[in-house]
Amino acid sequence: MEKRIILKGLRVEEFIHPREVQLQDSVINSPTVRKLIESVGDVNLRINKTRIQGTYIQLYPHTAPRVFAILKDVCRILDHSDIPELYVWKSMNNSIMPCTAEKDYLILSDYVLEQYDDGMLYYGFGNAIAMIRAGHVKLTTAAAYMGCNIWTVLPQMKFKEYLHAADATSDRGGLLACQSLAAAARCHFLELGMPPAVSRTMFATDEEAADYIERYLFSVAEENDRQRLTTRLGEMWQSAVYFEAAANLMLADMYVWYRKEYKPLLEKYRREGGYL
Amino acid sequence: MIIMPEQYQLEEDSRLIEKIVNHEVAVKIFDWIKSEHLDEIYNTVYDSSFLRLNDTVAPALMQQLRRACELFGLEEVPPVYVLRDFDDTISIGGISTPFLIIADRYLEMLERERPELLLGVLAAQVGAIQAGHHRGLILSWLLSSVASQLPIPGFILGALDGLINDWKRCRLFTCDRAMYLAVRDYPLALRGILAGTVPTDILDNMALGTKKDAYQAQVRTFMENGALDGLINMANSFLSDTSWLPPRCHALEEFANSQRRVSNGC
Repeated sequence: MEKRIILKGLRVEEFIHPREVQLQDSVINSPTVRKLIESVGDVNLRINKTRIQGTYIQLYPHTAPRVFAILKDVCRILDHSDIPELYVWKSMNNSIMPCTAEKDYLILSDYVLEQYDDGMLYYGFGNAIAMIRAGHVKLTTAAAYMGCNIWTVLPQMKFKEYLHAADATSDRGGLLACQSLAAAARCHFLELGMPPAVSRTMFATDEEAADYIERYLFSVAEENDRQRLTTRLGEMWQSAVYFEAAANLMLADMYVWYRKEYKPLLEKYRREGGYL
Repeated sequence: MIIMPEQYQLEEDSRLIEKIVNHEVAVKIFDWIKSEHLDEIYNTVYDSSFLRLNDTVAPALMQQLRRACELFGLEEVPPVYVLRDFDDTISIGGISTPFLIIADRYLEMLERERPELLLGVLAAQVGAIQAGHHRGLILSWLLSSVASQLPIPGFILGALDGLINDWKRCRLFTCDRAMYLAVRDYPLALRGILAGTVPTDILDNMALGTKKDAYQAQVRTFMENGALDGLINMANSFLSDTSWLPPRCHALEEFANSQRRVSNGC
């Protein structure tokens, strides 16, 4: 694995998903959503943090040196100066989630700590730090309080569309942090049900990962073509109901960006110097 | 010398479990269970669906379980079933005849630890059985899973449910004390509370129960966080039936200190 390039001066505008930009004015800056975020409020964030402190376990550099070394690297790579606190919980959840109270913090499961290799941790932390840098955290927290209410279905659908685009932005941040398509792909395929121990045997290098992703996406497209109505209904259901976009669409989105914009962006910062 | 419930059972636990099992609704539920032969059905389901551990497949566990039963004067060693589950740890099942259910991943983790930790974890459950916890737990399960089948109005069941939630939040303090009395090792008992939540190498680095205990800062922050204490506890009482970890660890430290003072004749 080559040394990772430090993206000193990285701006969110350089990796933000265009759909997120489009929806920012109509969704995030709308009075309804602004009111929702305000209603969540600092008190709720504080309550949430206290509940985390009461049930999860905080990690420190001396108790989890490998994990903190990677987190610090990721913060340097993505030019984020404030290293968040880390809490671990007992779960099979496979994401690293950013939260905020008086300070940003991340929560991750013991499954992630045990199963993720270094590259995957770089990706997961990069994803979370990108969310913090892009200002997603209060929004995702507000989303958690939205619940299901028939009267808010339409605004919720628009909000979820925004969250799906925001997810794509944070995936780009993850890739920029790990600078390894293979590691990013292992995380995405885990989301699709493939354990890391298996994906590590399917592809080792970025070239092998790219080949595997293309074959996978081709087979998905073929199947979707055969069942267009079911596919369309499924996509509509996913968009309407879930805060996360469909895992195969997330992978496709990240891969398209990797092919078109990731390497030129990395090259720009490589020329400006600075490696980990 | 047998460890008696009076030595470790939290007063609130004792008060609440007494109230719960003697509640008129609970009495009706237990009578209903008997009339419907649910006890036999329940045990048969477990015996048919899960692997029951024995000396051949889990010799270390069975040895420590027998030791725990001796310590707490439980004459009949409860059956132990293993459950395939990532999130769970160990719990008590059964209606009139309690048994233990242990998650496979948790068991694997415990078998890699010192035998004394396995003893402590099992002692916590045996101590809980001797304190009558299995009755409260089965009521909790019944209220959550078959409430609609019970011939009792919903609002009455709700009142009992609230009582049970309050009890479940304090019962783990009793279990922690039982664990300490079985192993007489404060750092080990503390490890028993947190084991399985973090990977073992991180748990080792936390130096629990020593001057460099990495969890103590979190305990202090949590216990000192009094500004929203009432609000958070109120929210927690509605949303959850589990107890916060920091107060459990803090209470264990106080109990261990009091036990040391008793041993030293203070």
